Amino acid sequence: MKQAILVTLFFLGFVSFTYAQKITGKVTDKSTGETVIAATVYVKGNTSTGTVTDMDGNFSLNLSQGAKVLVISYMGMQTQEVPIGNKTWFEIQLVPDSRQIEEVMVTAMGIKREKKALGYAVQELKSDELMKHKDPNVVNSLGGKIAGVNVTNSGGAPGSSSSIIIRGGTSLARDNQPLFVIDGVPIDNSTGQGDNSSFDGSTNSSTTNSNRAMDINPEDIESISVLKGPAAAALYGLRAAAGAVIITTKKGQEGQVAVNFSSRYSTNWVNRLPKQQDLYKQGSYYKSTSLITQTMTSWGDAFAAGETVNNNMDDFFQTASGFDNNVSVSGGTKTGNFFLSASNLDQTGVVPTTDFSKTTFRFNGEQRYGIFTFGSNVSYAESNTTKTLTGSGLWGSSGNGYMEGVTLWPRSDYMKDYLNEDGTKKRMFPNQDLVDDFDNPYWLINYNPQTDKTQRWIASIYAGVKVTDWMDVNYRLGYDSYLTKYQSVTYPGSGVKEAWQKGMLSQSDRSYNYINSNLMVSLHKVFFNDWDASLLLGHSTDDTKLTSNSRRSEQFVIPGRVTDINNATQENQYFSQSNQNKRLIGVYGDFRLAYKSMAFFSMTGRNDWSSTLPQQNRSFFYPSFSGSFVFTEVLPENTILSYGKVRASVAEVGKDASVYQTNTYLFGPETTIGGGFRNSWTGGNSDLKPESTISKEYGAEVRFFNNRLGFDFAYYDNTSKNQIVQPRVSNATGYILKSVNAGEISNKGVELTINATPVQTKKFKWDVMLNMSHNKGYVDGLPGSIPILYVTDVQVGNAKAASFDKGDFMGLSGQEWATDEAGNLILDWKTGYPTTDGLQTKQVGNREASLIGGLNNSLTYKNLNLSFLLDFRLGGDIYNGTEYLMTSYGMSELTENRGDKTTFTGVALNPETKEYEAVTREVSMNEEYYRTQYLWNSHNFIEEVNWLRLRSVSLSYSLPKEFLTKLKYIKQASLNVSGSNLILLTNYSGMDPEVSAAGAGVTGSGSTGIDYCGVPSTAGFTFGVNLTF
Amino acid sequence: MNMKKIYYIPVLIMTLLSFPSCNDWLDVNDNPDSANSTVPTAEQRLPSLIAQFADGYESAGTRVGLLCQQLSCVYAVNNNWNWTRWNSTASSVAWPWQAWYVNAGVNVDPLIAAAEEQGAFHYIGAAKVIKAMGFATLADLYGMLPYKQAFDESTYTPEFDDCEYIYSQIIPLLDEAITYLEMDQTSKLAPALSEGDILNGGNVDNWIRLAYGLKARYLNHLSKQTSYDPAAVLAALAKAPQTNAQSSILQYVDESPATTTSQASLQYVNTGTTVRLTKLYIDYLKNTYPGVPAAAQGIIDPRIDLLVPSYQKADGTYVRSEGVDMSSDLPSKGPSAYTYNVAKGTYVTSNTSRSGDTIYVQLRKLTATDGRVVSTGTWYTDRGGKGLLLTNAEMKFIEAEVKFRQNDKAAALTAYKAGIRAHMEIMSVPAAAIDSYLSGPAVAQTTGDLTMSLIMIQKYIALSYSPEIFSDLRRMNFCCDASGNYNEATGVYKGFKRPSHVYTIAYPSETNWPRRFAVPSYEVNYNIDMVQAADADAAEATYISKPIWWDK
Repeated sequence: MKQAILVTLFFLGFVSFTYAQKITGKVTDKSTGETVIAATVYVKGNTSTGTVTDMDGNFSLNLSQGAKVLVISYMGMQTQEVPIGNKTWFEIQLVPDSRQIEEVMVTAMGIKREKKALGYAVQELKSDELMKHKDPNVVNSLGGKIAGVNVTNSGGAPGSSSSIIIRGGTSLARDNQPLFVIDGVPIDNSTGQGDNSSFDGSTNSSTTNSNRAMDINPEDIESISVLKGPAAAALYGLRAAAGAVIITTKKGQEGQVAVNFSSRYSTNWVNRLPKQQDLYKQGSYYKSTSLITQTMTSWGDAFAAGETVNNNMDDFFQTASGFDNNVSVSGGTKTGNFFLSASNLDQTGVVPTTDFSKTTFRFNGEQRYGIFTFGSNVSYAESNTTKTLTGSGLWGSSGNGYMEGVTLWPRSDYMKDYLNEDGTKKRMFPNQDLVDDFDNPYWLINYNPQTDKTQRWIASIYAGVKVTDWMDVNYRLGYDSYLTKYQSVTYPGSGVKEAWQKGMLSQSDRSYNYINSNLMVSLHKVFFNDWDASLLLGHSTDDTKLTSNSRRSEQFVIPGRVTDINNATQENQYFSQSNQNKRLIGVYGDFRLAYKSMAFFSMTGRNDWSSTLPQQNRSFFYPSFSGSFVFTEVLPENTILSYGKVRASVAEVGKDASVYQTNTYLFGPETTIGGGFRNSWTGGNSDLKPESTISKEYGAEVRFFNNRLGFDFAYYDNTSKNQIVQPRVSNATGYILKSVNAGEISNKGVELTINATPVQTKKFKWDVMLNMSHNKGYVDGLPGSIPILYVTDVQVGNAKAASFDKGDFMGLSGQEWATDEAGNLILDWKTGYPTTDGLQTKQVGNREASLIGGLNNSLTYKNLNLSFLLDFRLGGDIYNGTEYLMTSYGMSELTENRGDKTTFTGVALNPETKEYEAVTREVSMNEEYYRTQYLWNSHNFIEEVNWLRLRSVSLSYSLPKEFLTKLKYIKQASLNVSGSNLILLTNYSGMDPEVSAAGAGVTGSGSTGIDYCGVPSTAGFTFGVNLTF
Repeated sequence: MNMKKIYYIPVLIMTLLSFPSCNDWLDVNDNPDSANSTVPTAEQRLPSLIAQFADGYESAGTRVGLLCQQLSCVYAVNNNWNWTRWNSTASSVAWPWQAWYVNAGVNVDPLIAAAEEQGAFHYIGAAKVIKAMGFATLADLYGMLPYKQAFDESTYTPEFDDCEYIYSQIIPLLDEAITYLEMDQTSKLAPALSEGDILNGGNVDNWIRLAYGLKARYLNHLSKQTSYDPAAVLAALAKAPQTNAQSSILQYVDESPATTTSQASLQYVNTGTTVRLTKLYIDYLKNTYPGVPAAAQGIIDPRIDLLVPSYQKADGTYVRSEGVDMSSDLPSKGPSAYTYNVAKGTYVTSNTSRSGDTIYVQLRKLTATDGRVVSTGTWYTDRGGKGLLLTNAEMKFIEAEVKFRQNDKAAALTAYKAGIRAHMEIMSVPAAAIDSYLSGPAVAQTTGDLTMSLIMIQKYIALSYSPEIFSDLRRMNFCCDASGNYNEATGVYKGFKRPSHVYTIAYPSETNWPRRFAVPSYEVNYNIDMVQAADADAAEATYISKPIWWDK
C-alpha cells in the first residue's frame, strides 16, 4: 500500500496549504542593478505559496503560518534563500550563477564535487552553452570547447558520425573513444555495424553511419562533464580507460511547472568542393597511339571553343534543410520532481535523396520519502537515415561510391542524364561487361540507397537510502537497448560483380542489449571540525550482448522488387548471425580526505573481472591517487590573485580484450572440394593479459581580479602498456593476424584554458574562453620486428592510416620515390622519371595536429547575446585520397598543366658503366607520368594542414519582460539565429580538412586525416524560437 | 520498515550473482556462432588440408611455369610479367607461402591431434605426408623458411631454417608417415580414410606410394651434392607409383557458374585470360627447338592440341596459338590482351597498335555468345582438370635420369619412354597415337640416341606447371655449360635463354640464372629480423640468383 501511495506521489506530488500573513518586496540583479521580472518567489517547503515578480520586479505574497524562509529563483541566477522573521519588506539582489557552475562538478559515478577538491582536470558544459548552437550530435557540441578533446566530424551527411578522442588514443587497435554515461548508465556510442564486408560489402567507409550518442536529445541535457584522464574516470574502470563523458539530464525544479517549447529551421550547403580541371574531355592515350574513349578518365582532347564544359559536380549537390521541434514539461515539489520531453528532427542532406530524422521522448522522475529516494530516467529515441555509397562503395562489389562518380565524371558528358527513355540505366560503357561499367552518381543515390533505422531505449531506476547522516546507500539498475536495421540495396543493372548484377538486397539487424547494476555505499564524516573524510564502496556488473542477424538476396526474380528479401530463389538467399556477449564485474572504492577547504586527497581502487580474458588473467586491480592544494587559502586576501590551486594525480587503469580473442576459430564448411574446416587466419591467444594505462597529471588553476581572469593548465603523461593487438605477423605462425600483448603508446600533452570577462558593465558583458592543447602520441615496442600497424578500412589511394614502431601513433604509411642513401632521387636512365621500389610501408606523414583549440566568446548587451566559437588546428597531415583519384583520372585541376615539362635532378644507373651518375632530366608531365610516377609518391597528396574556422556563431534575443508580462502565460521568449562553418581559413587544397574517410567506427588511430570521396562538409544557418510558459 | 527489506534484495542478488558463481557467469568467451579449432574431427579437416595444400603447390607451379618459360603473359607491368623477366618479388611469391603456412600447414597439428583421439592412423599418415611435401616444396623454392618454430604458439617472429635442415627433417617425417599409413585402424572411432581423402579416394596404398615417391623426388634433388645416393633414390622409386592409377592426382570438379572458382583447376584459376604459352614450350612439342636431333625435327607431339589452345577464325577454321618468344623483344611491349567482339565478329586487342597479337591465345577455354570459339583451352586449364601432384610419369623420368647417370642407358631408355607414355595416358591420348609417336624418330630409339637433354625436355612437358620444373632446371643448370654460359651444344634445356627483358639488377651477368624465390612480403614486413639473421643477403636484389643448399 505504501508503495502505491509513493507511486501516486511520484507522479502527482503537489500538496497544498493555506495562508495568513502578507509580505512585499523587490528583486534586482546585483551585477547590473536592473529589476528582475518574472523571478519566482515562494516559501521554502511550500511551493504552492508562491508568485512571480511583476514588470518592476515587485512581488507580494500572503504567507501561511510557520513560513520561515523565502526562496527566490530565476533562471541564470543563483537561487537565494532569505529568512522571513518579522520582516514584511524584502530587498533582494540576485547574483548570476556562473560562478556556481564553475564550482561544483559532476564527477565519476555522478558524484557532485567541488571543483577545488579535484586533483585532476574535469571540464563541464551546461545546457545553455549546448543550445547556443545546437547540434543534433551531442559529440559535435564538445568540439573546440574543452581543452584536450578532439572531435572529428566525418563529413556533411545528415546523421553522420563524429569521433571524440580525449588526450590521444590509449589503444593501438581498439576503440579510443571515451565512455559515455547518461544519468549513471554507461551507454553505447558505437558507430555503424562495424565490418560486414564479407557478407554484403559494407565497411565503415562504404557509407555514412551515426555514432549512437546521437540518440540523446541535446535539449534534455542539463550538463556534460568530461573526465579526461584515468584518474578522473578511475571508478568506471576499464570501460573508461579513454576517459568519460558524463551526461546529466534535466530535472524538474522545485516550485515551478514550466513548459518549454522550441523550434528551429536550418539550411545548409556544401562549404568546399575539390577543384576540377575544365580544359580536357573524356578519353585517354595511355600506351596507345589513338584515342581510347571507353574510359572514365579525362586524359582526352582539349575542349574546343564552343563545346559545353559541364558543371557536373557543382550541379549535383543541393541545399539541405531541417526542422527541429522540442517540447518539455517539468516541475517539482520539495519531495519530488519530474521532467518530460519530446522532440522531432527532420533533416535533408546536401546529397540529394539523403535525409535523417529523429524522434525522442524522455521521462525523468524522482521522489523522496523519508530517508528514501526513488527515481527513474527513461528515454526512447527513434531515428531513420537514408544514405548513399561513399568511398569506393561496397567492398568487393566492383562498384563505386557516389563521390568517385561526382569527382571523376568527365565534363564532356552531362552527368544528370543518367537514365534511358525506358527507365533503365544509361551506361557509361555500353559495350563492356556490366561489371566494368561505372555507375552514375544519380543512379547510385536513387537506385542504390543505404538506409538504417534505430529504435533505442535507455532507462534506469534507482533507489537511495540515507541510513544515517553519515551513510548513504544507492543502487541503480541501468538498461540500454537498441535495434538498428540496416538495409543496402543494389538495383538490377548496377555496374557491380556478376552475382549482384540482377540486384542485391542486404538487411542486417544489429541489436544491442546492456544491463548495468551498480551499488554504492557512501560514508561521510567531519572530524575535529576541519577534517572531512568520505569513503565510497561500490560494486557493479555489466552484461553486454550484441547480436547481428544479416540476410541477403541476390538476383531478384521480379527485377523491380528490390526491398523484398523473398524475391530471390533459395540458392540466392544467404544469412549469417553473430553474437557477442561480454560480462564484467567490478568492485571499487574511493577514499577522500579534505582539510578545511584547502587541501584535498583522494585515493581510489578498482578490481575488475572481465569475461574476455582467459580465466587466469581475468582479475586485475588498479589504483589511483590524486590531491589538490588551494594555496590562496594560506595567502592574505588581496585584490589581484583571487584563487590559486595546484593539483596532481597518478592513476592506473586496465582495459580488457574484445570478445572471443582467446580461441582460434575456423573457416568452413569450406567451398573447396570435399568441404571441411580449417583454422581461420586470425590466431587466438589463450594467455592474453589486460592492457594497462598509467597516467600522471599535474595542473594548476589561478584566477585574478575577482575571478575576472582565470587560467587552468594541465600537463599529463599517459603510457598504455601490454596493448592487445592483432598485428599482421609472419605467415609461418600459421596466421595472418594474431592476438598478442605487445607494444605501448605514450601520450604526453599540455592543456591550457583561459577564461576572462574583459568587459562587465550593467548593460554589457563579454566572456571569453580560450582553450588549447597539444598531444603527442608515440608508439613503442610493436610485436617482434613488426614496424607498422595498419588500421583496417582506412586504405585509400596508396596510403594507409598506420601506427609506426618507435614513431607516430597517428601515422600515415605510403609509397615514395626511390632515393639513394644521400637522399637523391633515383631516376630511370632511359626515361628520366623517378622510380619506386613499390613498397607502401614508408612513413609519409603524421595525422596528429600539433595544436588544437577553440576561442569561445559570449557578448551580452541587455537582451541580446552574440556568441561565437572559433576553432583552430595547427599541423597534422592529411592524405588527400580524393585528389589521388582525381589526378589519376585526369580530373584534378593540377592536371591542367599536362604536357608541360618538369625537371628532375637525381642519380640514374648508367647501363654502360653500371654506375650511378648524377643527372638532371627534363621530362614531360604527360598522362603516363601522372598515372604512374606521380602517383607513386604519396607525398604529392599529403599536406600539413592548419585551419581557423568560425565553427559557430549565434545571435539570440530575449524578448523584454515588459513585453512578456503583457502576453499572459509566456514567461520567457527568445529568438535565435546561428551559423555554422561560415568562415574557414585553411591552407588545405581539398574539401573541408576536418575529415575521416571511414567515420568514427574505426578503431586504433582512426580515419581522421584521410580524405576520400565522402560527403562534403557543410555550412549553414539555423533560425530558432524558444518559449517558456 | 518494509522498505529496508526491499532494499536488501538487490544487494542479496548482487552478492549471490557476483561472488560464488563469478567464474561461471564470466565464462562466456567462446563464440557461439563459430566452432573453435579444437572441434573438427580428422575427416572434417583432411579435405580442406589437401585442397589448400594443392592450391599453394599448384600456384607455385604456375609461377614456376612463368619463370621457366613454359608460360608468358600479356604485357603489363605486374607480378606475372615480372615472373617472366625472372624478377620474383616479395609480393609475387607471397601466395604459395601463405597458402602453405596459413591455409594448409597450420591445420596439420590439429588434424593429428584429432586423429590421435579417434585412433585414425591413416589420417595421421596422410597429414604427415602433406606436411613433408608442403615444407619440402617451399624449401626447394625459397631455400630457407621457418620449420622448427613454424606454428609455434609462443612466438610470432619464428626463426628461419635452411633448406638443408628441412631436408634432414623431411625424410624421417615421410618414414613416420609410412609407419602410420601401414598401421591398421582398429579403433571403432576411427573414420575410414575415404571419408576425408579427396586426393586418393581413401586408397592407403596410394598414400604410401606418394610418400616413397616424394622420398625419391627429394633424394634426387641432391644430384649436385656429394651426399647424393642414387641407390637410395632407386630404392624409394621401387615403392613409388608404378602405374598411373597409383599416382596422386587431384581431380578438380568445378562445373559451377563462373562466380566461384574454389573447385576449379588451379591452372584455370591462375592463368586467367592473360597468360600465354611460350615459343620454347611449343617448340618442344613441335620438335622445332634449337639443337633438336635432326631426325626429330618438326615431328609434332600428339599432346599438342591438349597443351596448346587454338582459336576459331570467322570462316570456322581453327588456328593453333603461337608462343611468345622470350628472347625476342616482344615481352617488352606485347602481346596485347584481346577480347572477342560479338557485334563485329572480330578479335579486338586492347592496344590497337598491336592488333596482330591475337595469335597468342588465352589458355582458358572460351566460347563467345555467338558460338565462336575464342580459345579451345588446354588440358591443364579445363574446368574439371587434374592436378598432377606426383605421378608415375615423374617417377619414370627420375629413374631415367638416375640410370642415365649410372650409365645404364638401356634401363634409362626404357624408363624415358615409359615416362612419356605414362603422361600421354594420363592425358588420354589415343593409344595408336602414343605408339606411333613413341616408335618414331621424335623419341630416342637407341641408347646411343638418348641424351640427358631428351629425358629432361620430356620431363619438362610431362610436369608442365609443376614446381619440380624449377628444381630440374637448376639441377641441370638450364642450358649452360660449366662456365654458366648458355651453350646449345652441351646444355640440357636447349633453347632456354635469358629473356630479352631479364631483370638485370638481379641478374647482372650472363651467367646469372634464377636460383630461388624472393623472401615473401609478410616475412619482409613483419619478420625482417629473422630473415636477415638467416641470410644477410636477403635484402639484396641479387638474392634471387643465389643458389640454395642443394644447388651449390
